[in-house]
Order: sequence, then structure tokens, then C-alpha cells
Amino acid sequence: MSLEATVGLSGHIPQEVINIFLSEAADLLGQWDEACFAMESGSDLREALQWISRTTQSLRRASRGVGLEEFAQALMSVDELLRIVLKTDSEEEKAVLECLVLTHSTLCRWLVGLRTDPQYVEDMIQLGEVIRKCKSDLLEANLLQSHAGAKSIHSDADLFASFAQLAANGNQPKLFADESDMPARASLDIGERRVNDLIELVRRISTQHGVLEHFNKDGQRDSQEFVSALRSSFELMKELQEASVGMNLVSVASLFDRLSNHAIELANSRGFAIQFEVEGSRSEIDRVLISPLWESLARILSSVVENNFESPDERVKSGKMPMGVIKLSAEVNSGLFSLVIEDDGRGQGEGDSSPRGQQIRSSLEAPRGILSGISAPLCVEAQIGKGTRFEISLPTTPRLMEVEVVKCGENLFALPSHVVPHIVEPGTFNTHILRGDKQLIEYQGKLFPFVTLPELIEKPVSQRRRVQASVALEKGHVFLVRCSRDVIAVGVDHVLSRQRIVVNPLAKYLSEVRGLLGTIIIGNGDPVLIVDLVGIAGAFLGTRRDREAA
Amino acid sequence: MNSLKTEIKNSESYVLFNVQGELYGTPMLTVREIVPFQTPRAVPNTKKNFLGVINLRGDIVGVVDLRIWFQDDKQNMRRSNHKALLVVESDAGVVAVAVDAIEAICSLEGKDIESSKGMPSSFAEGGMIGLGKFKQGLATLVDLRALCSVVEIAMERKERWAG
Repeated sequence: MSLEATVGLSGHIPQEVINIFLSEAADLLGQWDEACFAMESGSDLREALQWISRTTQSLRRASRGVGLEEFAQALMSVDELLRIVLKTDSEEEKAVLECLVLTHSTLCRWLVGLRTDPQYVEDMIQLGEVIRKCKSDLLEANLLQSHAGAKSIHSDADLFASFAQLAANGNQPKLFADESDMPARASLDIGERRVNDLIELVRRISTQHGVLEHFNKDGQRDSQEFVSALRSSFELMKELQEASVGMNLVSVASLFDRLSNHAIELANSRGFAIQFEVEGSRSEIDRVLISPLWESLARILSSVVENNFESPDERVKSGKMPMGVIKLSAEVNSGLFSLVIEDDGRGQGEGDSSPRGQQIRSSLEAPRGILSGISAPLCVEAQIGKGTRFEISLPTTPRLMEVEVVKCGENLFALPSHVVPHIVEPGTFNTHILRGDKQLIEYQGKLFPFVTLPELIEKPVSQRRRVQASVALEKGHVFLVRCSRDVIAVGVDHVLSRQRIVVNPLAKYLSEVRGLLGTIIIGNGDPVLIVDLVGIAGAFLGTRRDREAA
Repeated sequence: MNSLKTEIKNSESYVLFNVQGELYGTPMLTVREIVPFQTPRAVPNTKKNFLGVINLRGDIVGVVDLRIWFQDDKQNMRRSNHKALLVVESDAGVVAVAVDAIEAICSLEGKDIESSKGMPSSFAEGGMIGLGKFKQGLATLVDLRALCSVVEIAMERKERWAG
């Protein structure tokens, strides 16, 4: 895609650039053909469609990158069709397949034409008609379904009048709305492999149970074999936890596609172009997190596009490519989903006191709030002249979490490990009590605002108790928690263990309590609360700032 | 809860329980089970009459003191001596109501129930069915399922960070 810089804005596309594109496009169309074949042979329809959708996106970006705007436009309408198909439970498989096969052959002809003439444009009239017809049939079928028992729609005119009415009322037609607006689905699409793996696990657990029963009946509970069988059984239970929670995982590929389109289109509407690179789009995350991620990431990308890039002239002067680059990458490691957005813009941080800095700061407030709702801290690092890096990390699923079980006085709490980048051992820090109600710790030459966990969760304690707390902390641990723009030090008496646990969802009445993410049951059967450290630390610092301002 | 008020059957079974020397009754059908009291794990930022959470056979269940539904929860603040939990399945989830003692399970005829209409009640509106005349004495009849469905345990915003 970096070819776009070579092409420039002159409209003339050198044949060597076209040749590189042709080679890439031929590969992508080969994948398209395979997916069509898979659809025809009755394989997983949705998976094949998602594959074609991703191929379409890649082709669109590649063609736009070399300046083949008409080619990209043609793919846009196919992409819209695919979105409709994927968002509805379509029964028009045959029509969709015919449409995709026709698109494939049209695009192949187009590529052949481009081999000899870089300005070649294929006649799209027939394909355009077929796509329009297919879209219209799908929309009508979906609308009839959603109006079941109500008014019937008999013609395209009715159909589009109905959409126009929705639009006039300020409502996006449902088919194009975000996933969050879609009605909750009673069924989930789960790959056959996942279901088979789960069945296999259940079979292995049943066998293991039989083995344990055998040892138990024979009175061999002290034998080495029994202990080993028990250990295997624990391992299997862990695998079962992962596999059952994994049923709810989905790939972030379509989220990344939407984000990429959002950023590119926003940049285009501002009159400049950007290069958008994606990595790790096959990473998977719980489907309930897709909607908050979309809402927050789209806002972050909007802020990046609107504030972070210099003009092409300025970029060239500072030795950069004229076109700005945004890189979106994701990876999953030990149940933790890490997502990074990097740009190569001016690297002006939100701490900057200039109007632009203030604008960046205010534009990041909303995504921070959304991310805090899913206990995902947003870390921003800006390097002047080099760019900005946004990092978000959260568990792949809120149902399974790694936590640090800690003790404060007589109370036990569980803290999500992913929000605690560092645990400070006892005796390696100094505490300072300042005038007023401020307390700081000094660790490795840096000062951090300090608060004990009970104080953070509940009302601030008195000055006298605070002194006692700091004395007790000589033996305690300190968690450095990243929260919003700050790092806060949170003191606990003891760190008991790190556990990977299944989170018990909170009952409706408990979910209204501030600072709780869920509960777990530890080995002795005691319930332990999982504390929303990001949320409560943010509230604590906010209150402290307000007080200082007052 | 209105249905219970209006459709008092000729004879219905009630669980009679005692909280701080006062006799209360709730229709037996509103109670899922009765279990011995377990000391709950305290939950921060909740009202003082929310006692905490317990592990009830693998489920996390909130435990409330009956006074959480009193309109003025500062009244009658003597320390309770909880001995049993009435587990109620409500629209808001499963809630355990802590009581000092279970007195009896007995049936009561409609004629022995004095409707709560126009009666001053310390309970939130709609939670009180009436007054029942049992041989153990006069009991305040409450609909625990209805009360649990509207239970609010989170501390008010103004109460937080008050220091």
C-alpha cells in the first residue's frame, strides 16, 4: 500500500505500479474463488462470506492505494452487499453466490484489461444491476421479517420509502446500524471445530471421573496414581473453562475493517489520504466487548485523524512520507487482549497546553470513559515529531479473568491483573505524608499518589488511621495502577495468590454498586469481590483534583 | 405485589419470622428456601442494611436485613441476632433476607388479615400486605418477593467520599 506515495496525485499510474497491484489482486481473487467454491460445496456459509468480505476490503485498499478509484468504487458496492448478507439471516444464498461469482469474473476481466492499459475501466452495468437487485431482495426480505404481523411491503418503492422514513426520523436503517443497535440474537454462530473440541473435552472429563471413582472405591486415595489423576482432572477442568468461554469469542477482523474504513473515509473527507495498516486481525475477543471497543476505537481514530497528522509538505520537510500512517495491531497473550494504535504524526501529547493539546485531551475523554466501563485502561504515549501510541489491554473475555487475590485487614479482594503493570515489594519504597490529605510513595526515584485499597473503595479514612496505614505498609505490598493519565499506588496488606478464575456475574441489584466487576469463590468457599480498580481509581483521582481546584 | 394484596385466598400458608422481637409473615410461596445464617462477606459502598454476600452452593447471593426496606432506615437500629436466611428468588436476582428466628409456618384465612390500606407502614410502598392474626400474635405480613425485586443496596452518591 505504500505504493500510493509513488503514484502521487497526478492521476498517472505507472505500469510497474499496476503490475505489483495486479499480482496482489490475482492472489486475492484466487482466495475469493476458493471461498465461492466452498460456498457452493455447502461449507460454512458465514465463514466463506466473511472471508470474501475481508478479501474485498483488501482489494479495495490495494486498488485505492495505486489510484484505481473506479475499481475501489466497484468493490464498495460489493462490500455493502456483503455487510447486508452478514448482518441478516439471509436465505438468499443462491442469489448471493451468483452475484459473487459474477463479480469475480468481472474483476478478472478488469485485471486482464489493466495488464495492457493502466487506465482500463471494465463495464460494470450488468454487475451493478445484479448487485442492486440482490441488495434490494435482501433488504426487502429482512424488512418483511422485522414487520412480521404488521404491514407488508409490496414493492421496492415501499421498501425505500420505509427506509427514507426511518432516515427522516433521524434513525439509521437497522441494517446499517452498529452491532450495538441490533436486537439481541437468540442464537450464536459457533464454529463446528469449537463444538467438537468441547464435546471431546467433556468425553475426557467423564473418562477421568471414572478413573477417580475407581481409585476412590478401591481405597487408593493416597496412591501416586490417584494424585496424578486428580491433577489431570484439574487441568481438564481448566481446559473446559477456556473452551466453554471460548464459545463466545469472535475474530476482530470485521471490527478492524470497519475501523480502517472509518479512518480512511474520515481522512478523505478532510482532504488528505492516510495509509492504514492492520496486524493480528485474526485475534479473538468476547463478542460482548466488540461494541464498546468499536465505540471507543472509532473515537480515538477520529482524534488521531483530526489532530495528529501534519500537512504533506510539513511531513516531507521533517523527512517523513507525505502520507500519514496509522497502524492497528492486536495480539492475545495468556488470555489478555492487547490492542495498539500507532500513528507517525506530530506526536503532540494531551498534556500539551496548546489549543490542539486541549482538543486532543477532550477528544480522548469519551473513549476513556467507555473503556473504563469494560475495565480497560487506555495508555497514551506521545513522542514529539515521531508519533503517538495508544495501548489498551483487557481480558479476552470478562467471564474469565486473571486476578491477584489480596488481603486488607480481615477482608479479601480480587484485583484484575491486567490493570496492575507492577507490584512493588515491601521495603522497596518510602512513604511521604504531605500537609492536607495527600500521601505519596517514592519508588525508584519517582513519586506516585498513594492510597490504601480500603480507602480507595470506601470513604477516605481519618488522618490518624492514615498514619497507621502507612506504618502497616512497611510490611505491605503496593500495586502501581495505570488509570486514565496517571499512575496511582494502591497499598494492600498481603498478596495471597494469582488465579485465573471464572467470574460470577453480578445480580442486578449488585451490579449497581460502584467499584465491583464481579465475584469469585476461592478454595475455602468464601466469596471474594473483584474490584474495578480502573473505575474507582479514576473516581478517586477525579475527586481529589476537584477538591484541589476548589 | 398488588395481586397478593387483592387476591388474598381463603387460606394461605405463611412463614412467620422474628426480627428484633417483632413478628412478621410472608406468603410461603415467596420463599425459595430457608437456610441457617452464614456470616456474609461485606461489600463496600452499600447501604448499612445490606449485610454482604454469601456463597450459597456456588451462587453468590446478597444478604439483606429487613430494615433495608424501612422508609426510615435509621429507626430501630438495635443490633440484630440473625439466625436464619429466607432465600427469595426475585426479579432482581436471588436475595437472602436475614431474620432472627423462624417462628412457624401456618395458614391464615382471609378474614384474619387486616388489609394494609390506609394503615401507616414502615415499609416501602406496596411491600406490606396487611396485618395477620396468628395464634402467636399479630404479625406484619410482607411480600418478600416484591420487596426483593425493588431492593436498592448501592450507597447514595452523596454518601460516598463524604470525608
